[in-house]
Amino acid sequence: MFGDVIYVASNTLSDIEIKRYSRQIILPNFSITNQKKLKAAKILVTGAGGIGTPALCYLAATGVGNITIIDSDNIEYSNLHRQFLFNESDVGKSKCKTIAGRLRAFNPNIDITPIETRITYGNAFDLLRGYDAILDGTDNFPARYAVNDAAVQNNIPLFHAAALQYEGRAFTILPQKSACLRCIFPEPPPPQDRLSCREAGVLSPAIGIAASIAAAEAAKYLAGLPVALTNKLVVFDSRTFDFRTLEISRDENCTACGKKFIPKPVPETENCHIG
Amino acid sequence: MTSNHPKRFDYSIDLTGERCPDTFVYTRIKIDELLEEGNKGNVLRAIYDSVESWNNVFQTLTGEGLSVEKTTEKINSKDVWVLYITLSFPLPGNK
Repeated sequence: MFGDVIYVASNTLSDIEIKRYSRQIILPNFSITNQKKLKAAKILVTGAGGIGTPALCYLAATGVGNITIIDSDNIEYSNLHRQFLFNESDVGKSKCKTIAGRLRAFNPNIDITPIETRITYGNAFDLLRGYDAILDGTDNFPARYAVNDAAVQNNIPLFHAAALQYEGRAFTILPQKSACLRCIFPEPPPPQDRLSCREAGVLSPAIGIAASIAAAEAAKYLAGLPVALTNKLVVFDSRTFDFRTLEISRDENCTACGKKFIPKPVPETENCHIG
Repeated sequence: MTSNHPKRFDYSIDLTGERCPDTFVYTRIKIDELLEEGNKGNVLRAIYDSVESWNNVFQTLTGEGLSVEKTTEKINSKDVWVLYITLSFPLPGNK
């Protein structure tokens, strides 16, 4: 399925940009035109954590020209094993401002905008406007469902990734064309079915794999290339490296993208960061 | 740089001093730019000083469906390897 990229491609790439992205520009089915589309694109990454960090690295590396990052947290020691753009000396600092600085140094040819706020059902519909795509790196059910509902209601493609323990998953949502998060998981699992805090570890490279899949989908979409994971949920287990692709489909009664939108905020009390 | 070769060309790129895969990278990017500017049917002359680059770029571009002619020439008293590339669709990403 081809992405409906409607923004106007940037007219120019500098000599440095051409050299920087040269190994990408010469890809089969890729050209300088696709690179210019990436430069003109605007993406929002919700969450600068385990998913957000590797995803942001790859989005910046591929040359997505305008990247906005939303996160309200400060850096903790326990983040560092998977959020590898942060140092021990960064502990206590703002995640999104710190990562914005690292990404600007990594690729000065792109614009990075940090927004230090917490995504809620109350603000998501306004915050998630004006972007060509959204990559969801939130780590809790209230924010994840708020991002899903706001993205599909605002008709913005959403690239979803998540990981827990050794397993990960990713899929792509093109609103009104493919299944959204609520089509396949109408509600978060009830608290008794969720993993306990003791069970809620994650293998750092596993979350990187999930994030990289979502970033690859987003970059392809923004470059005007076909995406692969619409109506498909890819799940993997890094213990065995068994990758499975599950067919999923839209639910016409979905409260987020179905016939009638019904706002369904997930209570903030269900805000355990193990989703 | 001047050529004593009689073949017609509309654009030229001098890639002497470059090595694989940069020779292909810059040839391909130049083709992309020219096609984007509407130069379908025009001819790009690409000059290399390595027979290996010359062969590799020729093989790759013809594999992508472009019409390419190979020649060896003497330019500024120097032996060089030259490709004459007729710019045409389809080329990946420019369909």
